[in-house]
Parts: sequence; structure tokens; C-alpha cells
Amino acid sequence: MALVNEGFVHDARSAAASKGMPGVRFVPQKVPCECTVPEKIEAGVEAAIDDVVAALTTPLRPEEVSPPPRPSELTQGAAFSGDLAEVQRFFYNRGWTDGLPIVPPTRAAVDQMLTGTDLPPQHVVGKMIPRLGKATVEKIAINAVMAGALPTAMPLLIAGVEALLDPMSSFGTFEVSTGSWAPFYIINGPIRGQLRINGSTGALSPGDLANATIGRAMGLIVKNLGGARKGIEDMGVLGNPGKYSMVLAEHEEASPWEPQHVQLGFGSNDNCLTVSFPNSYVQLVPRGTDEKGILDTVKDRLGPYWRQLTLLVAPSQAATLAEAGWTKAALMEHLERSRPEVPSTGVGRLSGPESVRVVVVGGPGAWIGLVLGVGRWVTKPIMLPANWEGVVKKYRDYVPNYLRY
Amino acid sequence: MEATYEVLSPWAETDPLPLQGISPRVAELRSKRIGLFANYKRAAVPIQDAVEDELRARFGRDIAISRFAQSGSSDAGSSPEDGPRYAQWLEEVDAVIVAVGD
Repeated sequence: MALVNEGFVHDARSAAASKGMPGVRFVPQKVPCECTVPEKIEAGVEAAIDDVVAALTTPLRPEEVSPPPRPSELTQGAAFSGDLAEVQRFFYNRGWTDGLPIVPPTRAAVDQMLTGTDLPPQHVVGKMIPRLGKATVEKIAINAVMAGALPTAMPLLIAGVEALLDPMSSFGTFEVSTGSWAPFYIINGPIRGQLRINGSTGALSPGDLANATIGRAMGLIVKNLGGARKGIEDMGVLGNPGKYSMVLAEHEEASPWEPQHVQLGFGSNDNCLTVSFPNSYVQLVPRGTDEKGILDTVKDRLGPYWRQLTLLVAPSQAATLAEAGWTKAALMEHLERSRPEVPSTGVGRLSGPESVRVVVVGGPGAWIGLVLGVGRWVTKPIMLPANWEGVVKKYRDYVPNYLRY
Repeated sequence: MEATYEVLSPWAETDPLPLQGISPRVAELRSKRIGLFANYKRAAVPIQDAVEDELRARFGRDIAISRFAQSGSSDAGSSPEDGPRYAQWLEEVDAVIVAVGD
């Protein structure tokens, strides 16, 4: 039996059911989460202990011996038919959206989305936890349509799923953790320009179709293929706006250094997606515009407790640092050495040996960004379809044209 | 007339999941070996300490307590580090209490 914090009973039931044991007995308890106060722990356990003993000794009910079949789920064929407002209401009420209106995933729209990959629709990229939903290419495409993505996003979304499913990403922990970690995607290679993924001014702000919809599609994929629903499986306490979409391109053309994927051994013409799971993003104006001003500001703000840092360096800062002789590797090593020894905690166990990445991103201006997490980075190559140039050409006129006023 | 959309389900299929009943209960806890499983969360061990204290207060030395601490965030049953030790531990206990939910 399981002694469960009273706020996590539904999460525990979902976890047990997804592992084929819906009958597991749970006893709610009122010990505060992560409690370090012995008196409160003792009081909470004392209040629950009679139920614990009962859960261990009360004979099983028939449904606990032979659980009834799981309810059938709506996964195949047409899910619904209606006008636009009815579709929106149906999807929202089923819990299939991120709260924003969706683009109706009609057969025609999904077929169009599938032109972005050569993989067959029923190809299974993997099974996504916690529900072990099959991430078929078609289901990825359906969620991509809902997010408003273009077919050119498909290779990236498939790479994104592969990255999440890599055990090194610790996706299964981060996607549902109380820490509200959000997947942060960095894109490298020529695909950045082909899809117009912004790595310049306001790269992390709304307004760019690719940045906005790729992250949104990945969020819907996590929800609808993995089955991580807010407040049921995803127990993020405060939540994180980065879960809507946190996607940027490295501004390779404005960087004095090798782009991230080249540092990792890929060719400059390779396309790569990197994911990590930060839960905060801090922006700083350096105290001085020389190397000392930049680096002291970063180190001071990092403070004594941090584990994983993606340092977002605007092109002007990168130029300053490069002129002073800093390489990306030297910067990473310098900051790595400043990382303090932190007492071991649960989330700390997810950390890898590497704790700093440096990415050049942004437009004109003097800001620098600290994206902070506790895990690892996972990079996957993006595989393109044979007719990639044709697909890109078809959608290349998706460009915002702002009128002067 | 407003357009009608016939839309596909975004919800993934799953493979059929073999369902498993839970283990038979023990008639009473006296003379039994009770397993206390602690995951890697900070509060798990102190909660299990409190559970052991409560069980001792009720049953004294008439029960045995056996602890298992998961070594990382991976599922103990399938992790290479914990798996064999965990399977062995399950063989040695009559009932298990886990603490879940931070």
C-alpha cells in the first residue's frame, strides 16, 4: 500500500493504473510536501496509521483481485464532427488542448502535415510516458496541426520526440515534476533559416510562427501522447509559461564562436535539436560592457546554488568576450569552475557531468540570459524528407510584414 | 452556412496493458516482516521513520521492519542499480508500505 500526500492521490492512482495495477490501495496523509519538521511528519503519520494497518490487512475486494478492463478511449478515426466553435469546445472539454484555441485536425490538414516527413504515418517513434502512448508519426502530425504548425515543422517535432524519449533527458521526471520544468528547445543548422526560427530580436517572445508552434506542438504531444495532464499527472506546483513554447534558434551568423551542434561534433550543415528542462529564466544587464562586467554579473547572479546553466549571450556581448580572448569552451569551463558544491537533493541526482552551455542568441542590445535547470542537455539530429526543398519552398512566404506607422 | 469539420483524435493509442491484481493481504501484522520503501525524495526517509515508530508503538517487537531506499530517480524495479536488490527485498517481506507525493 502507499501512504500518499492528500494532494497527490489522483496522481498516484493514475501512475498505478498506467502500470497495470489500478487496485493499489492508497491512504491519504496530511504531512506537508518535502516536510523537514519532525513534529509535523509524526502528526501526519500518526493520523493515518490506522488506515495504513487496515490497508494491509483488510481482505481484497473482487475488483482488487481482478481489475476491470480500462475504459475504451477515443483514439481512432474521426473523433468529432461539428462547426468551429463546437470543435473548440469538444477538444477543450476532452482535455486535449493547452487552453488556447486549436486548428481543427481534419484528415486533409493532417495529410498535408504528413508531407513534412518521409516516415509512414503509423511509424512509432516511441512510447511516451507516463501513459505509454504510441507516438506515431500521424499522432505527432495531428497535434502539430492543432498547434498551427506548418508541415516544415514535422522533422523537428519527430526529433523533439526522440530527444524527450532519450533516457538522458529525464523527461519522465521533468514533465510531471512539482518543479514545473519546461522543455527548452535550441535549434541549430540551416533549418533555422528555412523555417524562419527566430534567434534574433525577441527570440523567446511571441510573434514567430515556427518558435511559437513548434513548442506548442511539443506541449500538446506531451499531453496527448504521453498523457501528462496538469493537476493529474503533471504536478507542477507553480506552473511555467515556458510550457507553452520555449524555442529559439542559435544566432549562428552573429556568433564569433562555433554553434552548439558543431561543438558537439556535428557538421555545420547538420540540423540539430537540443532539449533541456529549465524552470527559470533570468535576464540581466551587465554592470559593465567589458568582459569583467559581463562575467561578474553572471557569476554574482548565479549565487551559491545552481546546477545547470544555459547562458544566452547576445551578439554584442559575445563579440566583447571573443575580442577579449574568450572561447565558448573557455567560458563554459570558467563558469563550471565557479559552480559550488551543492548538497545532494532529489533533483540533483538528475544532473550530468556538464553544467554549462553557452548559446549566442538575440538582437541588438546589452542583455544576457540565464536559463537555469538541474538536468542534462540532449541533442538529436533532425532528419529531413527527400523532397525537403520542395516542402520549404511551399511555405516560404509565411513571413510577417509589419506596416510602418 | 458554417463549415463542418470532421476531426481526428490527438489522443495516442496504447498497447493492451495486462492488468494485475494487488497482492493478498496479511491477516494481521504481528509476526510479519513489513517493508518500508523510500524513494529518493527528501521526506521519504523521515516519513518511514515515523511509520516505523507508529508500528513499533502498536506491535512492539512482534513485527520486523525491513527498509529499502531507492538509489536514484529511476524506477527501482527496472533500474540496473536497484533492480536485483529490490527483487530480492520483495521476496523477503510480507507487506510493503511506500510513501508517495513529495
